[in-house]
Amino acid sequence: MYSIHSGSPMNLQPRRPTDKLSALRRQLRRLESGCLSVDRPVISSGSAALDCLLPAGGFCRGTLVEWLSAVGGNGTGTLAVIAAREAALQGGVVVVIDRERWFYPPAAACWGIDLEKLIVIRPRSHQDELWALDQTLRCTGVAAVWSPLPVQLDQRNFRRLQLAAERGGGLGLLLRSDQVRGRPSWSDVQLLVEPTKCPAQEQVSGSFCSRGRRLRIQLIRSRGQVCGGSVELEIDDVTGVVKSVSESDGKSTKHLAARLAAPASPRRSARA
Amino acid sequence: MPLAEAACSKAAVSFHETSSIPGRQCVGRNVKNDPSKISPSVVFHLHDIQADCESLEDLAGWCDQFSPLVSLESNDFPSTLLLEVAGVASLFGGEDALARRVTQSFQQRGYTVCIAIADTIGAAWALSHFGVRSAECVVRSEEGEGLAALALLPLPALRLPDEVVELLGGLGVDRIGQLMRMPRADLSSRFGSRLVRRLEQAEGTVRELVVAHRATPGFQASWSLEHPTDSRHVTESLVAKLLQRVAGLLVERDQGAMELECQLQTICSDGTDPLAAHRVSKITIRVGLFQPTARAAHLWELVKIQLEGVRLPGPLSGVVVQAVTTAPLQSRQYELFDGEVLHTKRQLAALIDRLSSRLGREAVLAARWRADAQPERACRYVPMASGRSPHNGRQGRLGRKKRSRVKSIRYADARPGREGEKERTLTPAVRPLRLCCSPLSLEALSVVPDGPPVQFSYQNQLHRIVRHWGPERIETGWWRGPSVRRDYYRAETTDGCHFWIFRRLSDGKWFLQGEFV
Repeated sequence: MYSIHSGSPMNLQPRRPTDKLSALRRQLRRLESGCLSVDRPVISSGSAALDCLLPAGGFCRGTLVEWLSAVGGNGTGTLAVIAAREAALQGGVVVVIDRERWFYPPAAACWGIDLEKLIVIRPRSHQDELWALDQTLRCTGVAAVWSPLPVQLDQRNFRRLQLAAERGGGLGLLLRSDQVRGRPSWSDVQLLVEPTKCPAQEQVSGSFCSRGRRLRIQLIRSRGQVCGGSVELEIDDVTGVVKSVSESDGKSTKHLAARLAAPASPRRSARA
Repeated sequence: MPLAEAACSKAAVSFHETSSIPGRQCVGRNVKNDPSKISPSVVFHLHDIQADCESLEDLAGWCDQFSPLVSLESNDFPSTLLLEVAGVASLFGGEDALARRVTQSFQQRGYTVCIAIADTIGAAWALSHFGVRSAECVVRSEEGEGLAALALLPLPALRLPDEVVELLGGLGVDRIGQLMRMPRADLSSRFGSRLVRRLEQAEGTVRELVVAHRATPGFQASWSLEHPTDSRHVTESLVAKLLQRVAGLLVERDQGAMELECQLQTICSDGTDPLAAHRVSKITIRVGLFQPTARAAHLWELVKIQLEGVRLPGPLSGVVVQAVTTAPLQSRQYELFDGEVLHTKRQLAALIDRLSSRLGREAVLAARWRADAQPERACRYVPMASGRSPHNGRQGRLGRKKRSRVKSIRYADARPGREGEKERTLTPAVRPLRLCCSPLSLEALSVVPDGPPVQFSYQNQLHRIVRHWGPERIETGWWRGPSVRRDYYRAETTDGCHFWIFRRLSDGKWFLQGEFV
């Protein structure tokens, strides 16, 4: 057996069937997407359940990730901060582009971001914001860039950001409104975050609730991949651990019949 | 306005930025037990020791006009300037005239000073700190009368540690004169050699070593054009050439620029006013760096970013390039396998320089904890590229403090109470990622008086609360200014959004502080 991934005639080690399968899968993905991200190292999203949802088993280094949400205050930024924390574990700094000047570093520190390795950039205009994004994504010393981004972003700038991320090898975490859903995108992964309600019996008042907030993450776009799956996560307020709801409940929350009744239809994403 | 005291001696003139401003002491004493006595007009500022030291160094360089030997007090946080005025006073018309001249000069710079002139450094220091009765005062002890003046002063005037002063005070010794009458051998064995050394230094029987302050040499290059030019190409070539010269000067002294200034002099070409035709206007480009560098190419890259946005009002007549702040270049022995790490660090430093150059130093920031319970004041921002780097500019801010690799869960360590210290523990979701700089007023409804909210109105939208966490009471101390007393709630609304709202305890009004985005 030969390594299909490298294609080198010198690489003649025998491989297990699973390795071969994954190598084939990567090869296919690369051919389909035409991008280099499939060969890049993968960063965990901070949640095993979300990693399972992502085609590469996490976020590929050197790519852009779009986090879409309808309203503020629903935990999208927190998930992105957790992903940035995971990226910084392998070295490099986390950069926050905060044009509207509302980012609160102590909260990020509470989520495990080391303030010594955090740079906050406050551009004054949209043009400066894009330039700063491009420069930071292009730098090899930056592990992740966390940035709320407005709806209006033309394709040329978007493509420039994607190339910058590819060159720098960091992770671009872009927080955007769900209004951009369905529009052409140069991001590798597009995730839609929606808050879900807690069961009535868990609504407690008074001191801290033992459970945290619940979010439903939907993979609405993955570059060159099959997408459409979703996962429901719970962020534990006390420990900061992010896990799937079924895991935290100790049982599957979805009955088989219910899943059959409303199947998540996988579909091919529109190419950018 | 900065305030300084001063005192005098024949051997030295000493200044010290006062820590005993009468008003400030009065505030502390009177309001200790009654915070309500703080006047609303009182403005509180954090004491910046580093900035004080830098200002004092600047003043030391400026004091060269009064004395050939100026030095800073020799301790970790100097607050006094020492000037050798022996043989110099006659040039100013005597010691009194010199003291007046110094006082006036400082007044013109906005400082109020008290000056003491005495035979020894110790006596001058003592008189400057404890011998003056009011600000802007000159104390001069005649030759040989210094001991008599010293004898009346309290023990802290000898620059002794607090514990020694306290111990002696417990034994009924509170004046220097009492110490002078005691046998020195006994004093040394009981209270340490430092006490006797300070006493003898003040008396002049033991010499005191001071290190003269030497201002760093200027790294500057300039070019004047005989015929002013409008050519952009010439302007850029000139600046690049001068930057090379400055970089050369820096390399010669093993220094790197931390702050660079490039001044473009232009001649106003307004033809309507013949007098204005000769008016020279100056445009200054300032560049702050993250790490000291003497690489001309890098400096040119940073200057060029700003130069591209500059529109000269007239033909260019001259250029001055100066490294305003410098620091020793980092010298490090290269290792065989650390090439990638070094490259990454260099890339990062270059990135910060580029960002700071285009966006401004205030736009590229590092966040630091501040020991303050009030959320909006619990964090301070420090520009990454600074004119002066911490610790004498030996290294930049990133990586100054080495920490072990962050583990996946390290939240318990994440909240230092004081800068650099770990004190309190915060769970992840107790602070929102989005914080309003100033809280926004809300209309909220509680079922129980002083109880948790059940709904609130924000941006013309009614939010019903389905869950809440809290209250978390946050109160600040009286010494920090008008005290803050709030009960914070984290509220989950029907649409699943989490808000951080609080009730102001003084009047029961509700405010929105942030969102858990």
